[in-house]
Amino acid sequence: MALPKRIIKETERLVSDPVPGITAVPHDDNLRYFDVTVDGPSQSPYEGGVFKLELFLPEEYPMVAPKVRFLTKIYHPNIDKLGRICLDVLKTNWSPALQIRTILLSVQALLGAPNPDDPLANDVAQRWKEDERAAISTAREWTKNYAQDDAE
Amino acid sequence: MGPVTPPPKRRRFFKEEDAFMSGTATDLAAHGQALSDDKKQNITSSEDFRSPSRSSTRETPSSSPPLLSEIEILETERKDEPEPMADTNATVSEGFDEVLLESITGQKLEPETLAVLRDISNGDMTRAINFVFDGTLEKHLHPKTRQNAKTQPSVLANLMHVDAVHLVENANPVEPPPKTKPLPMWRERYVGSFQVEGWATRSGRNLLKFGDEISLKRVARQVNGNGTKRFGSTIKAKENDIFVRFTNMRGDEIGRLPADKARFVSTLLDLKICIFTGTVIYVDSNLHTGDSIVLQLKCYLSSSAFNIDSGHVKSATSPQYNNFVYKGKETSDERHLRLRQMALIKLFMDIGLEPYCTNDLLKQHTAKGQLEAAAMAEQFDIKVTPNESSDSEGPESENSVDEDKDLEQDQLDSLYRKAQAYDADMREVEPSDTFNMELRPYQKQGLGWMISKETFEKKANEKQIDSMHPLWEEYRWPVPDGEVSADEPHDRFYVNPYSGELSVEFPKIQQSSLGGILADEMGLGKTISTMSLIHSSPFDPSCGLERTSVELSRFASSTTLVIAPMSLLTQWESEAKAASKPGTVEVLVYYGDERSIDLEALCLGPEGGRKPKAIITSYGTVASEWQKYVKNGVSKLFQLHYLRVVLDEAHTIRNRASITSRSCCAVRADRKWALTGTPIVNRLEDLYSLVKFLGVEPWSHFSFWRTFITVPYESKDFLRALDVVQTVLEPIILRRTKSMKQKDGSPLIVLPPKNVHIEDIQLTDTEREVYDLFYRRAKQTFTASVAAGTVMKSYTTIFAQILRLRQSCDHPGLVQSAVKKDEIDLEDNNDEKSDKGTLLDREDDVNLQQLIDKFNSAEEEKNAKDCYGYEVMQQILKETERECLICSTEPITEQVVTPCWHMSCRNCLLEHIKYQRDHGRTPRCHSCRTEISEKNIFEVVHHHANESGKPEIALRRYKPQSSAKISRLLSQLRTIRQEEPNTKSVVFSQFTSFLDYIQDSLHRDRYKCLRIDGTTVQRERARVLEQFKNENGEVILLLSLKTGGVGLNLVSANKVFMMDPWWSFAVESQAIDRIHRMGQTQSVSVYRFIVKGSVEERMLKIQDRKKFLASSLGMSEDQKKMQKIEEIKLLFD
Repeated sequence: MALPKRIIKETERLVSDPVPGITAVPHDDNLRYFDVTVDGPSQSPYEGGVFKLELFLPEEYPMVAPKVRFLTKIYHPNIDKLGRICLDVLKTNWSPALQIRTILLSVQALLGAPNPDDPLANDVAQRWKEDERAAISTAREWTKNYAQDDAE
Repeated sequence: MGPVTPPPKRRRFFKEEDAFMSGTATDLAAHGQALSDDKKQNITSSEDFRSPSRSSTRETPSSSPPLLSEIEILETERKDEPEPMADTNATVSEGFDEVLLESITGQKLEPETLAVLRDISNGDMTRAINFVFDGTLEKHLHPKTRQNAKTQPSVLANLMHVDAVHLVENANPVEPPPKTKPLPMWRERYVGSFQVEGWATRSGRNLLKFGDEISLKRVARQVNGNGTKRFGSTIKAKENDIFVRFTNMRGDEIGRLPADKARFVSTLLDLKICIFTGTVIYVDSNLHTGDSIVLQLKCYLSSSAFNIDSGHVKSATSPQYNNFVYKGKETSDERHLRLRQMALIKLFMDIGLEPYCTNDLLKQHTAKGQLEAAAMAEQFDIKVTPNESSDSEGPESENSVDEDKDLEQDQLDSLYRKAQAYDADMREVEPSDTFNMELRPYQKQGLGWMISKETFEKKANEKQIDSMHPLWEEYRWPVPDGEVSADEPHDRFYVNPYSGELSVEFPKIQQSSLGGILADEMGLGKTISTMSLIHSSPFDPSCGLERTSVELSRFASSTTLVIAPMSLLTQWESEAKAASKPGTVEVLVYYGDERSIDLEALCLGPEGGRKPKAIITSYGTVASEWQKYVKNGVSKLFQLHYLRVVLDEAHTIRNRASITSRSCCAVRADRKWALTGTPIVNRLEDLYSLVKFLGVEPWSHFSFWRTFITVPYESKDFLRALDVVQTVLEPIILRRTKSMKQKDGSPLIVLPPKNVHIEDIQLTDTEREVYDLFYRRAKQTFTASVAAGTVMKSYTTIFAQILRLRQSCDHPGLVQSAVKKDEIDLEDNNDEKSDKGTLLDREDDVNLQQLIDKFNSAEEEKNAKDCYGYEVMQQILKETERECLICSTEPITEQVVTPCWHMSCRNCLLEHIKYQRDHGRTPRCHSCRTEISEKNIFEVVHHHANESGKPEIALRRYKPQSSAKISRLLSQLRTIRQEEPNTKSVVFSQFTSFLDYIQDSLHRDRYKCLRIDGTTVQRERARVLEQFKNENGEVILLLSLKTGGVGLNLVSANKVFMMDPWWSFAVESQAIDRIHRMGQTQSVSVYRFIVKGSVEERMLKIQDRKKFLASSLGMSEDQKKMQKIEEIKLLFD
């Protein structure tokens, strides 16, 4: 199946006009599969971390949203142990007018604005609500441990 | 009537027995003496030798009649196989027995004659007998002038007869008065005799006795015969009534002839060809009904038989004649000719008369073959008659012809391959100075060939002055009573076994008409070639054609009559003018209003001025003028004798029985030309009409054509039939195809490239539903009839269903009537209009500029959302290029706007809406998530700049297109408009109702579009074609495949859309060639719309199969049927 024009265009633009703090590089053998990094937003517990994600464009893209998952371990109420993300634009609020670029920006924004009221990782959310400071501190710790170059 | 003479034996007896006679000659000689008691045994064994199956019939004992009768009875039996009735005694003699010779030959021979005979036969009895009969004896004897009583001239009667014939001819203006045939100087003349075993229809004693004269009588069944006219009465009998009764001298009916003899004797009597006298050879004195009566019939050819016009129904006085002329029943004429032909051949076989001299060509063809042919035609007639009687004129009736008679494409191909003996080295001839165009080399060659065909005859005339017409056979008059009559002025006569014509005058080979068939493939410039001929080959007074003064006074010696289909008249006129230097060729279009012109004065008048060199008229005009001419003798067209007549698209006359065909054949001209790219459309007979028009001897006689071509072809002897066709065609046809090479190896013409694209069409859901419905129905019918083994029977039904299936690939509307309401609801429930709240909701089609003006006037009231809308409108108006948010295409294709003013490609948005709905979600705008639906999105329509100037942009409520093909067509046209503005396109479909839908859609998008289909009248066609040609910008021509396939020149277009496939690509390709033909300067793109996963896709496969299939020549009917079933199977696999 030939790659739709849209995917080609998006890929080209991600290279020619990159979003600061985000990279997305398709695999040579599968142009629908991207290696993604997202920098933790400043003034968030994830600041300084570089989070790896995988992104896959399903056959029906752009009628359906891309599949995005954190590979790097992260302590976040809307991201579970497996790296799955709870984000409306990745699900019901997806629109074909959105793109890889906008989706990744949304993910980055989610890091800066965790929403424990709509949790995916219940334990994290619980803690976030009960003791936000402790939670943030864990998040920071995890970032240091898992999302920084010297971590591994 | 002459005295009762012992009947001469038929030579045929000996001829048939040749093998037997020569094989047993010594045997017979050894038997020696006159055989009395053991002769019966002897003959029986001989019979066994010849035909064992007969021997049983020989055992019936009976009394011993006189020797003479016995032989004759034997012969009769051998030939006719009546019920066994008599003992079969015969005599064989040894040495040279005069008595036997005389009894067999039935001639009293003079002693010196006998001596001569003995000499030349070396004493061989068999040979001697043969010499007596075959005329060899005559050669060796010197004129013995013992005139037969029956050959006395009856001059007065003949003179009166000639007068009558003249009257008939004058009353019949259809044909030019033929030269009066010389009539024989006698009333009737002996040609031979034969025996026949009749049967009694009454009982009684002494009704007849040996030697009594009887006479033959024809009486219609219902009429009670009471007159006993001497030579048979000729009350018009019913068609199938063949009864021939015979009466004794008192006029009492005694019996009838057996059916096999009666069949031809009745014809001969009815048509007044023959006169018979009869003598009783054997009869029981006590006669019972059903008893055999052996008769010797002497046959005399009547002098009237030598004038064919008086001999058959074609007489002006017969009420049938009118019928014949006006109803197009030429077949009845042909039928009478055929009956006459059959009867004569049979008669000659029975009396054992063989041609003295015949043509080489005919030698291959025996009388038997001719009979077979005639008999076959009879059967054929029976099958065809209902069709022909309901024959409506014109090309439409062609559709009803039996498909099985059609020529397969590959048969045609091989035929053409044989016929087109194009020689790249043909002489090129420069056209005359007055010709205003440059001819291509092959056209110059064509001109050379055409000129040679117009002058060829002079040379031919010198050489062949004395050869006999190839169809005729020469016969010597046989002489009864052993008399020799070399002094007789007409001691031989001539028979045309193919038409049944008789003549006492030597039939010279007739001058064929000059001309031929120019069958160049479409696009090679037949019109131009013809124009160059008109310029370059004027009337030559020394051409040597004989002409009567009447003919001369009507001779338009510089005028060529061009007969063309109505739709091409204008094209001919303009091409004729373009091809001629100003003032050199006066062109007159004789059609419609123009017909008030005084043709005669113009054409026969002095040179110069308005004297037309070319008159262009239509087939319809010719046909109607001919009918007038036949009726009243008044017709401007038919009063003239032209220098040349040219039929364009000559295959128009292929139905030989149509008025069109016959009227064209009736046009008088020195030179006749037929132009056609397809001399054979689907049957070999198509060609016959051309040959008849050209007057190519001998093929223009239908009986001859039938014998040599139709019959072999129909009896599956394809190769032979095609071979003969080739010999017919070769001298008269010139055909070049586009693929042929010139002598330098370059192609004849170089056309710009043609690219054929197959466009895969995906049906919409509704369409698919409809299609599937019809598919199931058709498949069910087919499977059911396969199971029942009635596929061929229900062929028509199956075909009708396949037709529906094909229509449903175009537009569900085409088959709407066949869909029951409860099966699929095709109604548009599109009425509800949701989303009240934006400016767009009330109108279906909004001019954007007006909308903006409205915005401007009410600016203050607008909220932010509407301001955004305003901005978008401005963008649309300025045609700002934007990218589709869904597919990233830039600019957006087929731009649509949501009520919330968000844009995207139409298909992207529709897909988006559909996807959401399919997944149980409410469709929302891709940009702002406002609820939307298919019914409230708006297309941005760029209307082309009209006369008033500015291009207009409008928003139009989107309506789901009910035909995927039309959507594709529209989107293709949009692309073309963007990429190649001002392109002209042609759209073909087989279904005019589909053209209706297309036309509506094109109008909605404000495309300039023209249309020609079968219903378009000539004037309109010409206007439409002219407009299409002269249009400077974008224009789309809608054509029905059938109408568009013929003749049109559409080289100003270069995009072709084939909306639906036809069974054979040849038809499509012909249509495409209207555009891709000589004069085309641009490369041509052809888009063939094929619905994916439908019969259309399978039809493509069938097309391919046809292309690659090995020759179907020699295939039997059954094999062909099988092939068709296979094709249908392919459709449903």
